[in-house]
Amino acid sequence: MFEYVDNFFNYIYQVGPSKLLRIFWFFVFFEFARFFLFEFLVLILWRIRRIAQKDLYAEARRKLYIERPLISIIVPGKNEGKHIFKLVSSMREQTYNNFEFIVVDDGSDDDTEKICRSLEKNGLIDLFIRNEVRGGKASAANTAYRFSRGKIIIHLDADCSYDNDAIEKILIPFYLDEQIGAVGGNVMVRNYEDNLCTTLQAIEYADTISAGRITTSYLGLYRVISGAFGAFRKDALDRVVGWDIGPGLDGDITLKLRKLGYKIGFEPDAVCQTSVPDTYRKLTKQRLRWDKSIIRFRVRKHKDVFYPNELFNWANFISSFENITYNIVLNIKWWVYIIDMVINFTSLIGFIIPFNIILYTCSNYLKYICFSMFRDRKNESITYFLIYMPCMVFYFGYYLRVVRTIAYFSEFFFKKSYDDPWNPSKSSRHAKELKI
Amino acid sequence: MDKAAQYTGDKKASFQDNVFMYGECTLFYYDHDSPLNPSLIAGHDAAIINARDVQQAKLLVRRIRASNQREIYLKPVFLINYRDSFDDVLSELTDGTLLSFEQISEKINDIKEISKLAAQLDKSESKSFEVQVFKKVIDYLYTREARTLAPIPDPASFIGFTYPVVSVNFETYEEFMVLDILDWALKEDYIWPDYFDRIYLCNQCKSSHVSMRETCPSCQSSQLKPEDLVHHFSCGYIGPISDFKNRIDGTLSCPKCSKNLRHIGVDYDKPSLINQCLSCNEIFQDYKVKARCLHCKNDVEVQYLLAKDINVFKLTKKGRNAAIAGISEDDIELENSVLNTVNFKTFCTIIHYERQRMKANPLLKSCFAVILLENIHEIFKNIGKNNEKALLVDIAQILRDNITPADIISFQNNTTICININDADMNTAEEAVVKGLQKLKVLVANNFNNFELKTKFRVESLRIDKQFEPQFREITKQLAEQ
Repeated sequence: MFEYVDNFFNYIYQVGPSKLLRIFWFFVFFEFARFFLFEFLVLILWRIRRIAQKDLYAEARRKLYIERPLISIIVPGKNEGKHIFKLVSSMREQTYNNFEFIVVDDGSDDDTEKICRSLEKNGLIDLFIRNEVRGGKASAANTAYRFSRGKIIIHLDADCSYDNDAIEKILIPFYLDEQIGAVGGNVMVRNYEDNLCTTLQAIEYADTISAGRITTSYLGLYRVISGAFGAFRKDALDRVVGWDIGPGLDGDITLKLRKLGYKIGFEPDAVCQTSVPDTYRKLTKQRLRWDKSIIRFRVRKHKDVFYPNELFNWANFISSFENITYNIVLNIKWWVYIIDMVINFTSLIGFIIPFNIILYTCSNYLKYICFSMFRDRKNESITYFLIYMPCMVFYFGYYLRVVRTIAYFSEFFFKKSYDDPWNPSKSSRHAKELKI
Repeated sequence: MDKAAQYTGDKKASFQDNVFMYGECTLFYYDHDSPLNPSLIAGHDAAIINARDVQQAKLLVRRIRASNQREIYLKPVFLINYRDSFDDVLSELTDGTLLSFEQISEKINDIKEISKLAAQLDKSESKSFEVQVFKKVIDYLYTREARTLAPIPDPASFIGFTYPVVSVNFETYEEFMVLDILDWALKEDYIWPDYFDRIYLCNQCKSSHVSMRETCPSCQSSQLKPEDLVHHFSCGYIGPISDFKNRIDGTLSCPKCSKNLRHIGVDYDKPSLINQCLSCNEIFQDYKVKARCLHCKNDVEVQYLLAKDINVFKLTKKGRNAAIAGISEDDIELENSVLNTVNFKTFCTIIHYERQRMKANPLLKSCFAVILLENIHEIFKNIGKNNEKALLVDIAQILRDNITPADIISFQNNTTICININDADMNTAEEAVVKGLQKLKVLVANNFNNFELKTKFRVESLRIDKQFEPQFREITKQLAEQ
């Protein structure tokens, strides 16, 4: 063992920087440069702008409270009755309270109807609509959208809870910039303490998802408003007439709004806490669904963003291009890299893999510590998550990469997303025929 | 009268001054042209009524059966020249129909039998109204050798069903008391029920003539427009069917993607129904079903209507015996008090002794609280009498949770509560009352659609030098004027 460690360091010492770059090019050029250096730089710029806009932000808040528009909070879902009372309580604590609360039950087969009818009778839900026949998430959201009367529609997931100023915070960006058509909230992991699976997701949400969304939002490339917490201007939704069928409807509607010329914002201070999958099996299912939607929506349905026509928009082009490049192309490239290493550096694999792990772990530590300067809301102290950092290499670098590859492959060649039971087959069949 | 005068067929029979004499029997004859005074039939063995129509026949028979005199209400009554269609109520209240006076001879035995059975009846008088009425009923059934009280659907009845023998004792507007009496008799085991139907009565006037309709939960209007929701599979759009209907040819086309919807189950489905209020534009699925009483105009949600079972009752052995043995007054138990409380008279007596105790030991402290539930009558109005008492019991229980078992609660009336809190200073007593009222307000808000219960209260030390009742009156007056 000591001999191996000795050899390992000798090897690192002897190969020199140019050969190290040849071996670890993937990490240096793509992973470190894009996901650390670039994001870090943008985060600094974002923070400077945030400070500079402090007065504008206060003015926007004042405008919101002067106008005090009616907001529609919509909660579509199936078998979510058990979460609704908690959600209602969370909403009753909100600092902004001029809203109507609409719950749509998408053909639940539990006590959801009973619970919600009772809450509606007691005035805790303004409108409860039960669709006896399940139509899928999009149809439930569209039901709520059809009967909403608010100027802004906020889409929530029933199993999430919200900071008491979350609604106020997600509304303010609409008063900061009139061109904003939709704003995404910051989704944090509530059950991060459950097990390693949820803890790793908490780190992923904090580092990759939140920080990534701040970056893309700053650059005008933000592309997925989470279904757990997203606000949409009603007039903007009217132009796209609600949600199209999923899975992947969150990213789809965001891109549809972008194509109409609306800006999409991300508000890190509008915090929502969600429960993430607590087993790898459930997580795999969720991520397969998410990743398949990249092929289905970015590559197929919205491929027109790459066409040089009168609707061409550089921001949309870059947004989709970056999404496809970093998720699909580099994922394939990663396999190429592995094969390259296996073929060309077979004898060094024993050194390359551990070094790779060390590199990624160090990078993850650096990223987590540096990015934490930009996180105002944290689940725990920084130190809580630090011990889990070494696992992130395996979680993010290997496990999720494999899941992603399977998803891309199955969707690209077999269009498997249309068979996903997440959406009723009656809708998926039509979507497949219409190639949407 | 002419026909009666012509009756000479039987030597045993004779007719003079509205009275038929047949052997030893005398039968009072009433002709539709002259006024009927029921007391006139008292001295005769039976009555023969020649009514103009079924309405008049009913009126006359009811007048006889409603009498409080046994000699009148038990009298056999026959209809003559009755040509209208068969009427269930009339049939229950009379002893038969005569096609002609010649048939009187056939009824003589029945008359004698009724008279014989009537002689066996217990003659003692009761002070209780329930007992008086029920005794009349069982006396009637006994003399007619009947054992069943069957309800008859009757649109003219205030409660929708009539038990003719019982109902005759009440005016139309108080017909619900028939059910109270039958409930009492059932509780006392005089009768046995056999379920027939269920009725819903107005919780104010107890009428069953209520008009039910679906109303808007927001403005209570019944002007609603229900519509199917249509879900278009391929684009996920969902909305009322009017969103899809083409105004020219009525075909369905999607407002989102403009496709035609042709085939239910293939292109689209109808997952539910939605209502729109045409008065206030509210959208809802779950309407309120409200019932408007056609008599008193009271408009309440259907869950506040009084549900009553309508039964066919059979006399039990105890019931049959009661006709000849009488009904014991001890059987009557009235439950007017509220559980866990004392009535106000007893409360005043207890306070009197409490003051005596304080006189004997000046170190003792005792307080009393007067609580006024200012707007609770609004709830009472909606929930009706029966639920009112249940609510008072709950109120007493909540207040009791915050005081010691030795403390006494009394309802002076259904909005004024008095509590004697022993061995406690003013602050402790006030604290207990405030806590109790807070809980009470939460209970009321949670159960009555966020109803905000308004209360006033005053806590005072019990004074040795002053009578309690004047002190109490003064406080209630002040609270009411505040």
